[in-house]
Order: sequence, then structure tokens, then C-alpha cells
Amino acid sequence: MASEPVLQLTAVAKAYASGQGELRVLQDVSLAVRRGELVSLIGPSGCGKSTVLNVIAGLEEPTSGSVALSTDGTTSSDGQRLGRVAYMPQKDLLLPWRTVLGNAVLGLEVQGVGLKLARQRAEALLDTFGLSGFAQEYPHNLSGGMRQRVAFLRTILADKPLVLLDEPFGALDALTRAEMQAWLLDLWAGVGRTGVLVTHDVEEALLLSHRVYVLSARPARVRQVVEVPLPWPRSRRMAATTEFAALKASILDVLWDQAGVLHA
Amino acid sequence: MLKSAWDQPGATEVAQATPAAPGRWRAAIWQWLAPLLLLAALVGLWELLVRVFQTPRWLLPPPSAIGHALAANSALLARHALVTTQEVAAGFAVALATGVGLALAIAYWRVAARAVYPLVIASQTIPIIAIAPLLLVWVGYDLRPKVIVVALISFFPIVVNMADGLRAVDPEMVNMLRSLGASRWQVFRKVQVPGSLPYLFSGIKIAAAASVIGAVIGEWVGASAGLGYLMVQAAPRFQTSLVFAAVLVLSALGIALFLLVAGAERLALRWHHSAKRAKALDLNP
Repeated sequence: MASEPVLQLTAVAKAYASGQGELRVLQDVSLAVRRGELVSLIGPSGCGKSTVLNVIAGLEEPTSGSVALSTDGTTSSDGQRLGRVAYMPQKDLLLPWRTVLGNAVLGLEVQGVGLKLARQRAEALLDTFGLSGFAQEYPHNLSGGMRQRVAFLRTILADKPLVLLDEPFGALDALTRAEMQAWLLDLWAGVGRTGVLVTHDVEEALLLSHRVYVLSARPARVRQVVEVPLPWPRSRRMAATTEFAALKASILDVLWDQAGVLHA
Repeated sequence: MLKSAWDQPGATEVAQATPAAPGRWRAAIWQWLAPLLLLAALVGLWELLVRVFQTPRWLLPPPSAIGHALAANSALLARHALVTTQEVAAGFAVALATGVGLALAIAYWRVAARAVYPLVIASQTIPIIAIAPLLLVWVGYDLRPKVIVVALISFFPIVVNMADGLRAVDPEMVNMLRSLGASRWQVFRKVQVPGSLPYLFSGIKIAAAASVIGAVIGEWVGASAGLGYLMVQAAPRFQTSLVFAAVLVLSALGIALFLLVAGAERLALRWHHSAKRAKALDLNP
């Protein structure tokens, strides 16, 4: 299974000019994602996790270090990544004037895929995304979980080799969140995509990903890399094992150390 | 897969979006009837008071006399109304074109935002009625000065609302589309234009009401036709009923224009109205 990485970040740093000096957001972030892997980034809030995704997506360029995105044999570096990854931001960002179907096909439409073909492809996936019968509904008629699944469908349909998920379940209530995690595990096995997931939920990171990168507080560095040894297919029940608890504790130790939380 | 578990909560929510039909009809009828009943009562009171106190007709004619004047002068009124309508339509079209153009410049060109926007606002502090006579001197006695006055009065709400709408677009939405590989033009067409349409229509509705006022001001200052001209001619001759009849026609013109815009809005923004209805029913708190 070990193939060349789809995504390779090497010593990425990012700083913004601010007021008098500069604001250093990322100090030293190196990570690799291989084909078919889902990798999680976890860190204290405000540590720059979303900036990492913005840099990967090509919305921003790193101040130093390099980003290599290898898809279909070609490697794109600076200034060429826009349009090569599917980015799902924290908010669902559905266009309120478009129906479920209209929102889902947005990525394909932007790439110039014919509307008829795009619709067909979206319709074929509605069932998998728990949206059958809702193709013609406007987003404001949907629940939070459903809106999030429409955003997911839009992301997956965009047909990019790499998917970036920025706290996709952050805004959902605990129960919907657990359902969505289970659903994502199921989905991921089926679509075989490569992905980077940003989360602040240790359990979610362990449950969903092959590897967890624990980031420090701003400016972000990779503090720890945890390979998750849990077997696939995963299930929520694994969260109750001692192995899981030990992993969770080790990650929380690093995170709490960052935040200065006193150990009992 | 997990389909059935998902379908249930969503399905009930959507069902709530359509309330019971009879209740909705009754509400709709009442919505139209209530203001009409009030209007009828006020008109009746007016008729009664004028008759009881025997007010002279040149001072305040009863509604029945106004109705009579309306019928007796229908050809005259129609002829002048046509002129005013042309002024309103032309001025409104000019306002729409310049308003949308300026809004685009303000939203996407920093220099224009800095330089033009303050001037646009300052232009509204100039009393139109003061420059209307100057327009007459500058461009002549015909339709043009009226068209300019209408445009000057109605371009402002269009510019301000449209510019606000274009700038209100969520930058994250723009980022999301760019990350999918969208060009600037695609972002503009797929997000910024549809997102600003509700704002644009709000501006157009205000402009529609104001544009009729503009035409009348233009005609008062100097004209040879139009409802404003007719009023200026009739008032000093104490043809007060005719003045009122002209006011009625003007008001009808304004209402017609407003309804036209509101209808276009309804067609263009079906999603927006359905969202407002959902909000009214407390679907999405």
C-alpha cells in the first residue's frame, strides 16, 4: 500500500505582516499524505490549522518551505494548486439560491462539465449522501446535518484527488456529529479518496484517520505524529478499547501541555 | 445505507413549510381586504364631512366630484399620463444602468470606492428642486430635463443597495469557489451577482416610488405636457377636482410601477421568498 505521497509539506512556514512586526502563524509544518489515506491535523484553537489547509489548497502561498501536490503523475508546486484540491470549509457555504442539486454540481460546473452530465452524476450519489427526495429543496429547508452532507457531496463531486475537510462536523450537535462520523467512515471506504481532516476533537481524529499530526500553539509546529493502529473498517465501538484510550491520553497530554493545563 | 435514518427528520421539516391551504387563502384575502376597507371608510368619511360642512368645491371637492372629474377628463388625463410615463420609464432605465454600473465600479475598484462613493452620497444632499430649473436652461424644454431629474432621484438607492449587496458576499464563499478552480468571472457570475440581487431589488423598489415624484418635479418647473403640468395648469383655475384626479392617476402610476418591480422580483428571486417564508414559519431559527 505504501506509495509515493500525494501531498508533501516540507518545513512550511507562514507569516503575515501585521501592525509593527509580523505575525508568525506556521513555523515548521511537515507532513505527508499517501494515496487513500485520511490524515488528521489537531491542535489548540487558533493554532493555524485552517491556514495549513489554505496553503495546501493554494489560496495562500507559504513564506518558506514547500508544498508538493502529486496527482496523475504531475507535481504542482507554488501557484498551481488552485483547482486541484477539493476544499470543504467549516461552514457549509451552500448558495441559498441554488437547490441541493444545483449546489452539488457547482464544482463540476466550474470545471466546464456539461450541466446535464453533472446533474446525472449528482443524482446518482444523492442516495449515498442521504439526500434522495431532496434534490429540488433549497438549503434553508434542510437541517444542519443535511446541509453538511450537501457540502460534502459538492466536495466529493468536484472530483479532485485530494479532499480537505476543515472541522466538517464542528457546528453540529453531538448526536448528529456521531452519526455523521459513522457515515463518513462508511463513505470513505467507498470513494477511496485521499484527505486531510482538521479537527479539535481527539476522538474524531483517531476514529477517522490513518495518522494524526498534533500541532503546537501558534506559531504551529508538528509536535507529535501518531500512527493510528486501529484496524479497518473502523467503528465507533473501537473508541471503548483500552488501546484507543491510551492513544487518546497520549495526544491529550501533548495538547494540554501546550495549553498549560495542569496535569492531575 | 443510512438513508432511512436521515430521511425522517428532514421530511417532517419540509412538510411544515406548506401550511394548511384554507388558512393561507383566508390570510391572503384579509391582507388585501384590510387596507381596502380602511380606504373605503376614509373616503366615505371625507364625502360625509364635505357635504355636512358644505365645503366649497374649489377648496376641497368630495370624492364623488373627483370621480366625476376623472371620468369626464379621461382622454385628457390619459394623454398627459402617457407623457409622464415616458419620462418615468426613460429616467428609470437611465438610473438602473448608471446605478448598476456605478455599484460595480464601487465594489470592485478601490479607487472608485474612495472617489465616487462620497460624491454619490453628496449628490443626494443637493435639493433636486433647486437644480431642476437649471436643467431646463441647460438641456431645453423637452423630455430630457425630466428624464434627468427622474434619473437623479432614483439612481441613488440603486447604487447604494447594489454596492452593499456586492460587498456583502461571504469571502469564504469566494475562497471555496476559487479553491474549486473557479475564475474571477465565474465567482462574479455564480456568487456575487445572484447574492446581490435581493439588495438590487430593494433599491429598485425604492427608486420606483421616487421616480414618479421626480417626473412631477421636472414638469412643475417647466413643461408643456404631463400630469405635473396639468396640475400646475388646473390649480390656479380652481379646477381642484381635476388636480385631485391627476394625483390619483399619478399614484396609480407609482403603484403600477412598484407592482411591476415586485412581480419581477418574485420571479427572479423565488429562493429568497421561499427563505423568507421558512423564516416566518420558524423553520430555521
